[in-house]
Amino acid sequence: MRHLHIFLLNFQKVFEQRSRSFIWFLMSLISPMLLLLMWSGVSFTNSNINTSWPINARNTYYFLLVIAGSTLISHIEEDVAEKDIKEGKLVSYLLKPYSYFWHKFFLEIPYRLLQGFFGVIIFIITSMIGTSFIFSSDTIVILLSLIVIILALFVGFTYKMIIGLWAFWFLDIWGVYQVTEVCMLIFAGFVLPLDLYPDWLKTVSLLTPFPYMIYFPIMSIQGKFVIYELLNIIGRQLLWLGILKFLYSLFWNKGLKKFTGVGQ
Amino acid sequence: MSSLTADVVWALFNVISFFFITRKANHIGEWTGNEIILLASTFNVISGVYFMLFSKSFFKLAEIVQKGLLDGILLKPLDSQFYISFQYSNITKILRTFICIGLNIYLIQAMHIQLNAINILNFIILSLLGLVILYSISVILFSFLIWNPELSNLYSLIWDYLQASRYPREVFSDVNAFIFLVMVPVTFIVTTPSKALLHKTITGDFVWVIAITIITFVVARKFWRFSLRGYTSSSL
Repeated sequence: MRHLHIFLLNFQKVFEQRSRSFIWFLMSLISPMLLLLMWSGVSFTNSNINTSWPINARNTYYFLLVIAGSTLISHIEEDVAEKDIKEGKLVSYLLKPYSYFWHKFFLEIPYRLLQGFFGVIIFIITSMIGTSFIFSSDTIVILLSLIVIILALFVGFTYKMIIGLWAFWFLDIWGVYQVTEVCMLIFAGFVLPLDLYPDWLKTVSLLTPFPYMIYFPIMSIQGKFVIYELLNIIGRQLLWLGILKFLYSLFWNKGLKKFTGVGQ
Repeated sequence: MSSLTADVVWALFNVISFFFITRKANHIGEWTGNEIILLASTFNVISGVYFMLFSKSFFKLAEIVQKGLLDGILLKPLDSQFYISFQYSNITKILRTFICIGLNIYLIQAMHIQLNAINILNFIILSLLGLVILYSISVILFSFLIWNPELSNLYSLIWDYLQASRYPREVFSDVNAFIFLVMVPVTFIVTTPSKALLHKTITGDFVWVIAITIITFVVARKFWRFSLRGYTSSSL
């Protein structure tokens, strides 16, 4: 119940700062749209690509990327590192009788919902003006895809929390953010669907948690996987979630021993 | 050190992401795969100088306005736009420029293009004009922070918008008129200097670049002054 209150209180705050949220959304929008525009001007080296990745599949991928980028990728790491750890606001959380992780999660969710909502509006407007999209029509696939999407949110959030916790050890964490951001852009499928990468890069990507945050949710909802494959993806997401949660607990416990809160 | 690593990684990403795309593409508009990569690399050459000179100053603007520090700047016997723009600089950011100048040289050789002094001079002049366009657009957009300093994430948005200059102008030819107008000034920043290196016709572009540079600079100047009228001191 207390988490619901945190969620509702922060929802009000998010609406107060809706212009800020809208800017975050625009950031998720610009890059995929530029890539989509570029693909429209491409003449392919291999004509098979036009058949294997037709224009409506491209549209669907990049528009879903806008929604997935806004909804599933948290931006909590800066808050954790700069405000809580560096400025010492973590002290107030440590005194509260509930988990820091869940508190942050329910603070973040309203932002994700609002930015995802902006994405859905763009999606609806675009489909109304005649852009065609590809979606699965199989109920079981859709239900399993929803599980993939929810798990992607948790994997992404836990990963970003871990990045934020690095501020316990690093004085200048800006560079770390940027490097991890670039890794995410490449491995999660923000540039291209992983199928269009060279084989070695696709293999490397699949060994990281990033495709499970963006690529697999997008492809699942398009109906690119059968039930067995979706169950396999869910299993891998759970595995990554377990690994990341373990790392989070490790970093949190070790980091707290390094943290000093000073006040007057 | 970590910031330096991040710069190198971003520069490589800007180029490598296009490398993956061009593996699948013969042409994008009139640009071949290697030319597209040169475009992305030239973007890094110009943006490296931009980052060195201005980015930290613009990044701090939201904080300056929010904490009321702009009062002190406005009282100084110095032009406020000039002071804000050059308040901080970061010499390490130039690394991005040097790496991509090296990449440009490699690509030029790989494409068997013979450069002469005029090509290089054109490239330098057009890159400097592109830098002024980049700066002017940034000033116009960052001026909004004076009205609403809460929008500190405008910094990241502006950077995403300016990334559009990595793409060939032809990409925007089919979009609606409004998006085209918003995107066109940005596309001149990198496309024209790259054309100078590739021996492509730039006579018409030269005139356009000069016109856009003057227009964006004058608009930025006026918009900065206009936005200062909305500044209500530290009571914000």
